[in-house]
Amino acid sequence: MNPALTSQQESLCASQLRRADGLWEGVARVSGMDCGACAVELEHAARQIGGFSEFSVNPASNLARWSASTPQAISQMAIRAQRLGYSLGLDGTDCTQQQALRNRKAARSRFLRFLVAALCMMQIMMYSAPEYIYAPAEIGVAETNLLRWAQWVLTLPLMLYSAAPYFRRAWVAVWQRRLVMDQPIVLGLLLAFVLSSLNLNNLSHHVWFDSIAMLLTLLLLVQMGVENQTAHALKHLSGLQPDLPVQVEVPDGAAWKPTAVAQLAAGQMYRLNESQVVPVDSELIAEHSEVWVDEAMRTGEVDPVLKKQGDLIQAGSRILSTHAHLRSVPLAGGDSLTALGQLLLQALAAKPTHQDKVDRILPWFVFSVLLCALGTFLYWGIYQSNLELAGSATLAVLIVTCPCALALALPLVRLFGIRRLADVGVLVRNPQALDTLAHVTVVAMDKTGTLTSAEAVQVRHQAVAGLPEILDNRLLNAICMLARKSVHPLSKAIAAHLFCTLNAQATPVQWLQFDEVAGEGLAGTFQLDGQPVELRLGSVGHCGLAHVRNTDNQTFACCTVNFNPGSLQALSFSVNLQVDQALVSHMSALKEQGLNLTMLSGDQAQAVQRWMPELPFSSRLGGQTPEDKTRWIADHQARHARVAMVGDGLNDSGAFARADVSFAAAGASTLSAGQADFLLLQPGVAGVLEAFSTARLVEQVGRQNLLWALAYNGIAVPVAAMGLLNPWMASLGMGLSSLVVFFNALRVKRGNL
Amino acid sequence: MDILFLLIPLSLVLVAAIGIVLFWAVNTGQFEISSREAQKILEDDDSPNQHPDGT
Repeated sequence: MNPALTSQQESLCASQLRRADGLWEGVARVSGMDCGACAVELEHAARQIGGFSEFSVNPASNLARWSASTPQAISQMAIRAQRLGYSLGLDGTDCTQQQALRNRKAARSRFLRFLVAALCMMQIMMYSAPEYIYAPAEIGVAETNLLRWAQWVLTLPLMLYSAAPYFRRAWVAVWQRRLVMDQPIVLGLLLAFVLSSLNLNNLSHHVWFDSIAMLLTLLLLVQMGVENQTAHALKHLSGLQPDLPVQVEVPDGAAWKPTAVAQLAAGQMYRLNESQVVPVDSELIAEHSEVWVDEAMRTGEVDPVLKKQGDLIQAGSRILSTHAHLRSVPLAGGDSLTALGQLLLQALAAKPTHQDKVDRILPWFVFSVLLCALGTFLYWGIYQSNLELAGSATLAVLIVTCPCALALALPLVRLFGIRRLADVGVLVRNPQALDTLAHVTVVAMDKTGTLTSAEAVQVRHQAVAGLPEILDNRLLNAICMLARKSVHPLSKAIAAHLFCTLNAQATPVQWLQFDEVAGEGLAGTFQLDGQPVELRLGSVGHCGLAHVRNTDNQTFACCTVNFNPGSLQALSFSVNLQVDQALVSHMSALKEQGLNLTMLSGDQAQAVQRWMPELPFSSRLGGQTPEDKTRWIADHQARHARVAMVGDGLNDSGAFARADVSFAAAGASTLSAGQADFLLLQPGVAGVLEAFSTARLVEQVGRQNLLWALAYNGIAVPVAAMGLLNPWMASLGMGLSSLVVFFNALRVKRGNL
Repeated sequence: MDILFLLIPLSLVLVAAIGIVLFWAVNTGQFEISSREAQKILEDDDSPNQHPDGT
């Protein structure tokens, strides 16, 4: 009896791709999530439906990613998600403004729950104080009853309002047959409330309303701190995760029909509306001949950039004009377009694995706490026949164990590490990498675009000895347009140089053929006077001029025009790229941390050796192809070294995948940004240095926190089980233990040891 | 100590009143963007020259 599928669910179904192994996979946007627990809830629902070999939700990017054995599984899941209060869809119905509105609402209700709890706690403690000092007979029986009733009344808002999220989460987990840390808390609260309510008029028994109030207030205080910090960290991260469209419009006869980005073919034309983000690297084709584009996501450049017909627009750029007609560009190096689009989305949808690890340990911890509580109750209640002590000892065990401290010990430290790095311009894509980074000993660095910025200080062109110089304006124009098709810093510099100095008009060129070889250069063929002309731009080898020697230390590129075999024209460019002022001091600081620094560059070996000798590299390797770099990293890993790779990703994607930790330099290409563990937002290696010190701090503080949580629980549980703790002591101990973990983690954010 | 029978219910009413005020304050955004309030003072133009005709 399935409800009729809505069109949204049908399009979800249709957006899936069939993989080679027969599984159906796809990516969708989830709306209605307000916390990490929601992601777990959805994943659990998917496991219950069955048919999924994988279903993961990333709470940071609000993207779900799955692979299933049947195409229908996802529509089942969409129905189930709707019943749970979420919605799965392709379109970005959940725009940033709505998200911000919901975040604000959530923050307000968190704060209110805490305020109500704190207010009631103060009052309840005041009412309960006389009983701790005097016997009921001294206060007066009627007065004691009055004070107890007043406490009971004030506990109602605590249980009904402040504790509501705990009850909800515990109930959902029971319904899903899971153990979560909210369950012992809720059990403790209920036990305390019921026992106290039953003994309200029995003055020989204790009431524990003050323990309830204290426990809730401290719990809510810790939770509020954690959630506010998480929200802040996510706000930083959302800058890196743009509102990528999951579907775009493609021409369908005269009309336009929506299609999933995953199904875009290489070279296919599609349309984007104003303020949408370009999902894959694309080429602009006419509608309005010029389009303003915001590339801040990619390059950090705040001012909009004007793109002309034929220009490359990188994925992640935002279209500022009304409409843009684009054609997707096949990726250099042979990856298919689907792979690119999917890769980026999947990277954003991928869930940090550390959450899984915590998820796995916690149920066992909760289980042993419940077992302990049961044992305590049976021992005191049945073996010792002391029902009052049985009640209070069981309560103390339930309350005093601090799953919070254990659950928060590591994720919280990592969260603060991520936040601190975000503040200094390093975005962490893969939180797990922070752990690995603390053990890295070898750092490999690319030169162009990584150590140097993408900005050229000076470009000079000169003739190549033995070959005629290119002087024809139409050819210079074509070289300029060819260079514009790439995002490599050298291409950009040469295009700008040709445009400004040599007066190339930058008129569109009809390319018969175009190819970009990663790490080598560009090649394009076009018609000139009825003849095909081949242009090459790139390294000497790429242009077939291997005999030409680089005369200075600067980066070298040359270009040839091949009218017919044998007639070559050439021009060489020397590009001097800008270097960050503090580069040398930052590199020395990295060296002082005991790291083995190596430069892996695609430039000529000689130039690499002579370039900036003051940089403390232990070795400099030039003439490296992408395969060489990957092999070099693999060699070091074989010798049990952890290797970090820093590059702009234009020809390092293999090395990125191979390295233990990868850093994408400022303005790196989309694909590598999707692959890299860390994204540097500012040029230079300051971010790398900061990441290393933060990673070490995170490891140290994380270990302290874990030790504290284990030691606390190890001591507190036996003491509580022996009946030596009052419930109020237990709730105080639990709350303070969580606060210790929280404040210790806070040190990472401030960055002092 | 009969006065307790008046004072304690009265304190409960007071707690309820404070609770309502807190709800109002949080839901009207009194605790958010506190720096904004400082700026408002500068934006509020209460100079006597606001209406040139009147002076």
